[in-house]
Amino acid sequence: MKIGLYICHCGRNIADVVDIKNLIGYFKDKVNVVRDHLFMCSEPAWEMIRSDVTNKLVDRVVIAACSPYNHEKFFRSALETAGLSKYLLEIANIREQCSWVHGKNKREATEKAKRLIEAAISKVKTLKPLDDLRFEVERSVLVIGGGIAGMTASLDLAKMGFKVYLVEKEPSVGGKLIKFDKIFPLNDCASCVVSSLMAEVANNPMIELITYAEVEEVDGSFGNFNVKVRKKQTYVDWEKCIGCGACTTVCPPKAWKPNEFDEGLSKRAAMYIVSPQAVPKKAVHDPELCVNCGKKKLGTRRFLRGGKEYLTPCEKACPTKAIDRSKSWNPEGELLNFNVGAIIVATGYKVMEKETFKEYAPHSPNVITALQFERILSPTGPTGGKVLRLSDGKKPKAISFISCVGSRDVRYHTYCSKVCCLYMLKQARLVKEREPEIDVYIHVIDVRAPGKDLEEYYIEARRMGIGVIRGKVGGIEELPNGRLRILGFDADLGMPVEVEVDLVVLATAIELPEDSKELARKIGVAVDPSGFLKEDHPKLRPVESTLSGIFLAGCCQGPKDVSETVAQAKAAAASVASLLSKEEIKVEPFIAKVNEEACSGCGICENVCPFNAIKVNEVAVVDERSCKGCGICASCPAKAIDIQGYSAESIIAEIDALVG
Amino acid sequence: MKKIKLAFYSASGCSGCMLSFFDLEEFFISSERFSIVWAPMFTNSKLEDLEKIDKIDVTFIEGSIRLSEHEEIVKILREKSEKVVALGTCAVFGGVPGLSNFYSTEEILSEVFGSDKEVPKPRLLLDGKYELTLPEFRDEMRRVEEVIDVDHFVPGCPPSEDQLLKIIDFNFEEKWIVEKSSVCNVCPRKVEEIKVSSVKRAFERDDGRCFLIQGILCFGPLTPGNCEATCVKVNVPCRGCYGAFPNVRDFGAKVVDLLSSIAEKNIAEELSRKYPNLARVIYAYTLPSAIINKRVRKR
Repeated sequence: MKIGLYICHCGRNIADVVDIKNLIGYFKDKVNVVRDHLFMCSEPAWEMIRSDVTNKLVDRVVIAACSPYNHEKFFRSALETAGLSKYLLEIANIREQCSWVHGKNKREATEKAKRLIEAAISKVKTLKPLDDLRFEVERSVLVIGGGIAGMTASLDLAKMGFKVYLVEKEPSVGGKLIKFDKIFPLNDCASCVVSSLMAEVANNPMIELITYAEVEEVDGSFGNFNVKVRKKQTYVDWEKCIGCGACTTVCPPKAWKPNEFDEGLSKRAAMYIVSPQAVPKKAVHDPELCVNCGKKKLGTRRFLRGGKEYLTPCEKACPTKAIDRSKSWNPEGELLNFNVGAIIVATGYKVMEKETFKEYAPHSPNVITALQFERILSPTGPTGGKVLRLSDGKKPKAISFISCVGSRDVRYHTYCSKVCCLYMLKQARLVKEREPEIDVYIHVIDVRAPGKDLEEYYIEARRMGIGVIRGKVGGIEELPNGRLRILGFDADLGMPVEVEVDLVVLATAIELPEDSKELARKIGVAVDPSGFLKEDHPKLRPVESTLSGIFLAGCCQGPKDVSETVAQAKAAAASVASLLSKEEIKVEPFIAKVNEEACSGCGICENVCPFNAIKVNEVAVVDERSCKGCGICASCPAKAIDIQGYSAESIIAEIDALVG
Repeated sequence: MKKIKLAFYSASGCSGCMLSFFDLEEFFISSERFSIVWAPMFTNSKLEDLEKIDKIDVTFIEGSIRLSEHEEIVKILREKSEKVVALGTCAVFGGVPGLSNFYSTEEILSEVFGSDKEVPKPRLLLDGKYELTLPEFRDEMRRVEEVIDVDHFVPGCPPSEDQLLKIIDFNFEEKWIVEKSSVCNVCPRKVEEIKVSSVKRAFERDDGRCFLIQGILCFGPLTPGNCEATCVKVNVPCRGCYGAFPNVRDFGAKVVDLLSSIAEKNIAEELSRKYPNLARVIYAYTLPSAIINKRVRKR
C-alpha cells in the first residue's frame, strides 16, 4: 500500500495559519509521497496527483485541503483517469476545520492539522476499491403542483421529449396566478399569461395531467422513483362532464360555503367548477357540503309514489348524465402507481390569514388580505373587477395597504416576503387607474423594488398620487360608522399619523402550506429554518433539493415573483433533462452492505430503515436503489451491516488516530 | 487408537461451564476416545504434573483472568496445546466477574477484607515444609484472549447442550461455536416491529408483549439464541448471558446503538433515571471486552 499525501496551501487561506513545512517534515517518513501546492484544485496540481498514480508511486491518496464538499469529485477524477478506483481517496479538511477557525493559534492549528491528516491516513488504509452503482433511468418526470412553476417545468420537459406526470391537488391547474387580475411590472393580464399555459398543459400528449389528486407515497431513488398518487373522488363522471356548469347553479343555499377560489369572498355550491377558466373544466361534487336533496344519499335510488325515479336537482340539471347519485362511488378515489426518474416539487405557497393579527381588527369585513383584494380587482371575482367594499357594496373613499404583516417580524417570520411591496403598488395603481378619486395609502417599513423595471414602477406609482407612508402600523381601530382608523407612524415626519379609510388591505406573509410540509416529510426533502423547502446549495445548486433526483421550483423554495418562479422552473426542467437524458446514472456506492455470514436475521434493520430499503428473508437484503446510506441499520445487533466507504473499521481507525 | 488428550482449567470462573460437559451423556459414552490429562477440578492435577506433560490436544479454559497464577497457567497450557478453547462467557467476554473492573483493586480488597491491613499476607506454614505464596491480584479482569491466543470461542453461561455436542468429537473447525440467529428468533414474544417509546424496569407490570416494546431493557436482539429464550419463557427479559455476536466489539455500546435506532423519541434521560446503574446492566457479562473500560483505566 503506497500512500500519497497532498497538502494544499489554498493561497494563504491554509498556509498563513498551518505550518505546511512542518507538516511535510512530520509526514515525510509516514507516507510514500508528500507534496504541497499553492492551489491543489488547480489543473497542474490535478495533473501532479494523476501522474503520481499513473507512475505507480501511490495507490491511496490523502488530500489535506478544504472541505470535501468543495472538490472531492474533482480530486476523484484524478484517480479515476489514472486508472485507480476513485474511492481510494480521503480528504482531511484543514481549512474549514482548522485554519479558518484557529487563525490566532498557529501552533495548535498545525498540531490539529497533523491529527486530522493522520486520521485520514488511517482511514484511507482501510478503504477498499469500490465501483459506482449504475442504474437504468426512467425517462419520465413527476411534477407536483400545477401552478405557473409546475406548468412551465412540465411544458419544458414535455417539449424535450420526456413523459411528464403533472399532479395538482385542486380540480384545476392554474395555481395562485390565475386568481390575479394583472401582474407587475408591465401590468399585463395574468389570465393571458397563464391561460394559454393551462390549455397547453392539458393538450400536450407528453403530459399526463392528474388533477384533484395528491401524492401519497414516494419510494425508490433518483433514476427510478415509484410514485403512488391518490386521485380524489369527484363523484362526477369526468368522461361525460362537459363543464357547462348547469349543476353548479341548482344547489340550494344550504349547500353553499365560502368559495376558495375567491378567497372566501363569494360562495360556492356543493357542485362546483373551480373557476371560469378551469382546466380541465369539469364539475366536482363536495360530499361534505351536500345536503342530499330529497333525502337521496349517494349510492341510493329513490322512487316516487308513481314509480318514477326521483332525481336530485343536480342530476336533473346535467345534460350529459355525468352526475349519477345512485352509483356507489368509492370515497377512496383511485390509486395510481407509476415510475419516474425525477421529481420536481412546485407546490407553491399560502398567505397568512388575517385572523392571526389581532391588532389589525381582523373581525371587520373591511379588513382583507391582499389575495382577497386581488379577487376584487379581477374581472372573474365577486365584484367583476369593480373596486367595492363587500360589506356594503359601496365604493370606498379611501384604501390603505399595510405591508410586512407577518413578514420581517420576529413574532412570525423574520424573512421578507419579497413580492408584497410591488403587488401593493400594483393593486394601488389598479385602483387609481379605475377610480382616480379614491385616496390610496401604502404603509411600508421601506419600499423594496430591486431589479429591472421595478423602481420605475414604484416611481410611477408615486407620480399617480399614491401616498406611501414610511412607518410601521401599530394597530387598526374600527369606528362606529364602520370606517377604520389606522394608527401608524410616519418616519419622514417623525410623528404618529392616523388615517381614516374604508378598506384596509393587509399584505400578509407568504409561507409554506402545512400540506407541503407533510409532503416534504413523506418524500424526505428537508425544510429550512425559514419554513420553506431547502435547496441543496443557495448559490450552486439552487433548484436541487437535499435529495438527489428531487428538484424544487417556485415559491415552495422561498418567496419569489412570477419571473423568478418561471426562471427557476425552467432551470429545474433543464437540470432534470440533463440527468435523465443519459442511458444510465451512476450513484456513489456508499450504501449498506450485509455480511450474510454474520446476519442473525433479527429484523431490526428492516424495522429501523426509513427508506424501506432493507428486507429480511433469512438474512437481510439491501435494495441498492432505495438505500440512501444513512447508516441507521449499521446499529445491527450482530454487526452484520456496514456502510461501504464508511465501515466501522474505517471510523474506528479514524478515531484511534485522532485520540491516540 | 490414539486417545485425544484433554485438559480443563478454571480461572476466575464458577466451574459451571466445565461441569456442563459432565452433565452430558455423550461425553461419557465417548469417553474411550479421549483421556483427561490435566484437570485440577476433577483430578489430582498439580502444576508440576502439567510441566511434565509435553503435548495436549485440546485445552478448555473457563473463567476470566485476574491472578498472576491464572496468567502463568494459561500460558503454559497454550504452549503445550494444539487447540485452546475459551469455554463460557467469562472466558470469552469476561463474564459476571468482569464487573469488578468498575472498581479499583483497593476498593475490592477493602470491600472484601474490611480494610487494607487485614489483607492476607504470604506467610510460612507451621511445619516449615512449604512456603505459601499468594498469587498477585492484577489491576483488571481480562479475557483469556487478552493473555494468550485462543483458537475457539464457546460462549454461554453455561454453554448449551447443542454447542457442546458440536465440539464433543474435539475435531471442530469453526472459530465461534455459537448460534447465528438471535434470542428474538426463538422468543415466544415475537413482534413485527420494535419501537421503544418509554422506559420501564423489569419489576414493573409486564403485559406479555415484547419487552423492548414495553420499554423494558431486553438484550434479545443482541444475543445469540442458543438458550432457546429460556429466560423470556419464564417472563424474564434477556440479560445477554451469551455475550455479543462474534463481529461485535462492545456489547454495551451496541445496546446503546440499538436503542438509539429503535427509540421513537429521546429516551436517554428516562433511561438513566430508571436504570441508575445502566452500565452494570448493559455490561453485565461483557465489561472486560468493552472499549470504555480500557480508556478509563489508562488514566
